[in-house]
Amino acid sequence: MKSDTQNKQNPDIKTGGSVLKCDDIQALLFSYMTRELGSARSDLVREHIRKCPVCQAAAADVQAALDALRDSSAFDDQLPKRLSDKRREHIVWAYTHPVMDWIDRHHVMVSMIIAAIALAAAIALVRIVEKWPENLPEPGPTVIIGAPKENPGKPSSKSDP
Amino acid sequence: MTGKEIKARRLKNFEQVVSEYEAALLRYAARILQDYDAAQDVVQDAFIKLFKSWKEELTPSPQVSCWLYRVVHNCAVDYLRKIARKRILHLRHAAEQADTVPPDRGDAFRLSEAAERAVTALHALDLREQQLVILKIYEEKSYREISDITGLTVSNVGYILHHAMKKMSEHIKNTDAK
Ligand SMILES: [Zn+2]
Repeated sequence: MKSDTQNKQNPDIKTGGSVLKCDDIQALLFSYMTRELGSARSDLVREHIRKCPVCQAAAADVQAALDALRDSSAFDDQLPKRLSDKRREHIVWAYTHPVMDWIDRHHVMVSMIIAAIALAAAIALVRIVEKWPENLPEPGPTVIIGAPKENPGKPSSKSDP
Repeated sequence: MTGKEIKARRLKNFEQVVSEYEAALLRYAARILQDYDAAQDVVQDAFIKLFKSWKEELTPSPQVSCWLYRVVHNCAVDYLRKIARKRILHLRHAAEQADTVPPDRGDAFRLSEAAERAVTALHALDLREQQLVILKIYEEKSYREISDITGLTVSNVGYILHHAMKKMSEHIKNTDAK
């Protein structure tokens, strides 16, 4: 539909040997308006817009969006212009304390590693404690206080001088 | 030169680089993030990265400027993804809301109606398009400079901007009609 209207209102324009269709021109509008086209192509676009109402409308839309965006820079004055002192100090601190900074930056990973180590240590401790009684002389009702020591499990008597 | 002198000199150069670029980078980050505090964090992180990874003499230069814009953008994208994840966890219909209600940027960001519509239209674009529009229109960078910052070709910059502006015009016209 749209291209039919374009073709009726605006036959392809020949300029300096090159043929420019409306689509080609519209693809260049933003670059044209922000002065990114070389002078030759700028001339082609300008010439086309002058003659083509469809591209004139498209150019007006782009211009409106551009103007509105530029208007929105009204709050530029309120934007922060300096890093806060706290952040400046932090940058210098990060440079002078690279290891601490790395830990600070990866605190989630560091705390997970610490938690994993703590968990592994806790499990190991539990296992040691579980095995602990096996290494000790078996307590039982057969032990008679005052009886001569016959327990072979106790090496202490051997190491005595 | 002793290690201490090198460090002192580097700190002095760094101060110079921060002073040169902080305002532009804060402006850029605040526009993408719509949040002053987050903008400060993102710019701070970019300077820390610069300080740590820039091996050559640190002085204001187009290379340093490009590098900083790129890193600020990447940090801002990371930040937005992080808060988007949080928002999805907390509020499943956040996306639907974002379509109908313009984000509330607080009193500091109150604008004229047309400008407000343009900002809403800007934030309806994807982040790459927003980046290019902000660099081109607010920061007045050339396609060549934007190409250096983003790594896109100059013609690709023009192509993306053309489509972004088309989307924005349509968005503005649609909100006009409502
Ligand atoms: Zn035309």
